[in-house]
Amino acid sequence: MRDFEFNLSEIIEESVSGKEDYSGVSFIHGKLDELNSKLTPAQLKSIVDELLDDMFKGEPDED
Amino acid sequence: MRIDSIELSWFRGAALNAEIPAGGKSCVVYGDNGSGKSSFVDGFEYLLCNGKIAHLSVEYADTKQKNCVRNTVTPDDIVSQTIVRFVGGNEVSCKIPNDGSVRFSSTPAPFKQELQTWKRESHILRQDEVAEFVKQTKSQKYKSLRVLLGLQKYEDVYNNFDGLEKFLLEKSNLEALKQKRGWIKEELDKNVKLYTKTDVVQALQEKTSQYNIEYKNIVASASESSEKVSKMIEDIEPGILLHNSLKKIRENKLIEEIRKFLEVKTKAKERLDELTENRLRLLEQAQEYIESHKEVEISVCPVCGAPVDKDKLSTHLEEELEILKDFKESSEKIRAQKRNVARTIEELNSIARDRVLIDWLEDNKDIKQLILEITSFELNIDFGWDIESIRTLSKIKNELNSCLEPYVKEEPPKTAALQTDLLFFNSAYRIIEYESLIDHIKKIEKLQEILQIVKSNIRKKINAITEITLEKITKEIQALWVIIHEDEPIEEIKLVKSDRDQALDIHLKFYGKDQESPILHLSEGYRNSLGLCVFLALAKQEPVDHPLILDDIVSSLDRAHRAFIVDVLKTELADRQVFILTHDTEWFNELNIRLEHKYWNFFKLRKWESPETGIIVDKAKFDWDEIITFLPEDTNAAGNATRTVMHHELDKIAELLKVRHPFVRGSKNEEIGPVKHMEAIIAQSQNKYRINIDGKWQSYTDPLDTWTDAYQLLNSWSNRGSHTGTITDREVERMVKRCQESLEYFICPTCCKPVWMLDKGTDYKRCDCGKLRWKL
Repeated sequence: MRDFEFNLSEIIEESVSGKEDYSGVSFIHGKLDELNSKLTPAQLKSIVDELLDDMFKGEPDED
Repeated sequence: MRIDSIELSWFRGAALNAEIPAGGKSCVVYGDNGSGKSSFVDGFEYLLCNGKIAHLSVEYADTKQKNCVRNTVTPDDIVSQTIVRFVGGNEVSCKIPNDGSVRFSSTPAPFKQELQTWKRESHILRQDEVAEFVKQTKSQKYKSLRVLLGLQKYEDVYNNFDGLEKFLLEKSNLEALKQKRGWIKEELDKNVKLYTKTDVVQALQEKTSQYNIEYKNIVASASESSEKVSKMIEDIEPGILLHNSLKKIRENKLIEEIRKFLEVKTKAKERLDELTENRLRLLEQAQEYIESHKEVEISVCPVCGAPVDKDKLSTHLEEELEILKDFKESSEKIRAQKRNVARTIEELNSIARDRVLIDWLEDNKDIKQLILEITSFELNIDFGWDIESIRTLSKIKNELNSCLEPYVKEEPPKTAALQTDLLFFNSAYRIIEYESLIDHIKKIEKLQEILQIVKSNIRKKINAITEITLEKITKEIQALWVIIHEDEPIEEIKLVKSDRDQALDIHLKFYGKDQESPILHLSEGYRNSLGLCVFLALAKQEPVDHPLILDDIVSSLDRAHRAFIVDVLKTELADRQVFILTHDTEWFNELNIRLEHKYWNFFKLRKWESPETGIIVDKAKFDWDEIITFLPEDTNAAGNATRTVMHHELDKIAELLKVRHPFVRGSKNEEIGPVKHMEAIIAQSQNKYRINIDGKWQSYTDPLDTWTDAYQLLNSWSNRGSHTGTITDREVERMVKRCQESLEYFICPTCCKPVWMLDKGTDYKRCDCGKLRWKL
């Protein structure tokens, strides 16, 4: 009963398949090990901080 | 991983060392209510759940529940303890001293952690929990089962993504960013009317060229243009203000107000002249009247002083009043108009003091002089209003108007277009922030969309796994249900996923009709039975060497269904170690008879007397081979064990053969021991026990000598402590032998089956071959 197929990486691939390359998705891919276990709110907040840094790093705000 | 023993010491109801020595076998533990059965379950659960016992947690939420697990009379210097030993040498224990500390230990050291990965809910089932699942709501059912179904880890992953989405929205300030985007959009709507950087750049390039500014980039060019246009507006605005002030002076209503004043003044003068003439005429008339009417009584008018006939005085006075009213009204009109003239002069004075005009008037001294002549005209409301002066004032204003004519004739240049451009330049740079915000928000929204899709796909996966798992569990439940409820109208029990996520329910067929809820149609007994099947089906998903503990789980089942539970134990759970705790004598005896002693141990707990005495466990079954090993050295142990066996066996036999005892009041009925049973069996066997020899039924008397000897020896053993009874070691050896032989007399010498093997109607029990029978 414990051996059902549950591959988070595949679920994410399936979720973004056929769509444009979204910012943040590759970052989430890099966090799969963590996301596959039970995380506390503090841990999730920390991941989101990193995620936002990753998404908007070096973004120019002048023309 | 079979349990070798559960040992308690000053833990819950136990005093010094209460132990169930399971030896790896399944166990049935009988005890009255309050005898301490559940203390053993508590001891196991305490170790399994790292110091938590679920049914106590409502009242005792303290750390490791240490305030409720120590026996209430435990001496302060004694450590309470629960130990579970496993076959093979592993053991887990916990010591709870009086100082509030709790110390777990295990052999080997990591074994405690391994044990605590076992789920309580699929290893322990207590009486009050049996029907709990059936009664729960759909979402509660899911919550109860998700750990047991192995879904919790997937739910954890789902919750992680749910948390990611929540914190993404929170930490990115998405709502605030959207609000800011709205504000900038409003500004662009108002001042720029363009919404892409490309369009704004193009417009900027065009507009900057109009002001002879070379385009560099949005920020620099807009800033430079804004500065230039502001300067232009600044240059133009004083001229506009001056023009407006001069226009106001010229449009000042002084001349008109003076004209109105002169009109009311002239009219008032006419009225005054008329009044004077009227008075003169009255005086002349009065003189004439007095001369010609010397003898007639006359009156004098109090207003004009003229003589009036008494009968005409009233009319005369009315006329006088009208004249005076009219005069007074004219006078008020003059004063009002005086105020109007004074106000217009003050207005003109106020405009002339404006900062915009002061410098200009210095350069236009003739105009300044004219204004001064007007504004310095001293007018008191009561004096200085001679007509000539007033007419002069009007002429000065006329002259002033003529002088201003050339300055107000031509309008100064307009600034509206410049103002529009200024707003454009001031807002144009916002397009950068606007586009950046749109991009930023889009990225977050897209990621949110992805997280929602991932969540949705995880949920689909969980739902699929749930359905497969439920199908498997359903098969187990159905297999168990059929054993307990064969040929009954409740069938096809199914655990099914609800239409909504994270919800389960039980479907079944009731008299051939599908029902979506078991609550409507199932009695309390059926609900318990169903709950038991669900628990056992889930427990069967655990590794086969994990024990199951069933604490008083058949209370609401009738005798027939309890019998089927035995079938479940013998078939579906044959390869598992099961602990059954019960307070029901009949059920205990049935289990004792039907379960193979090769795989099962039976224990009885003595009536619980006090916390100091605690729980006392008696082994309810010894093998004769084991008892014989006590001899000849330990006749005491052999005697006790023999009595225990006889107590247990004769209890069972007496019940099966319906051996009657004289009525004894109250709880003493429960205390009938082997001596009383033996005595009753000997007495009743002569009429009831028959053997078939050569086709003829005869009273079966062969056992009587052995039974009588066994009875006397057991009686002596029971009374050995009293002053009337003694028993020697040789007699104990004989008692062991006689008791063993006594039980064998219930077994058929031909078919080797017991005399209670089969029912012959309701009248007899008989062995398999029919050689022995016992009349009921």
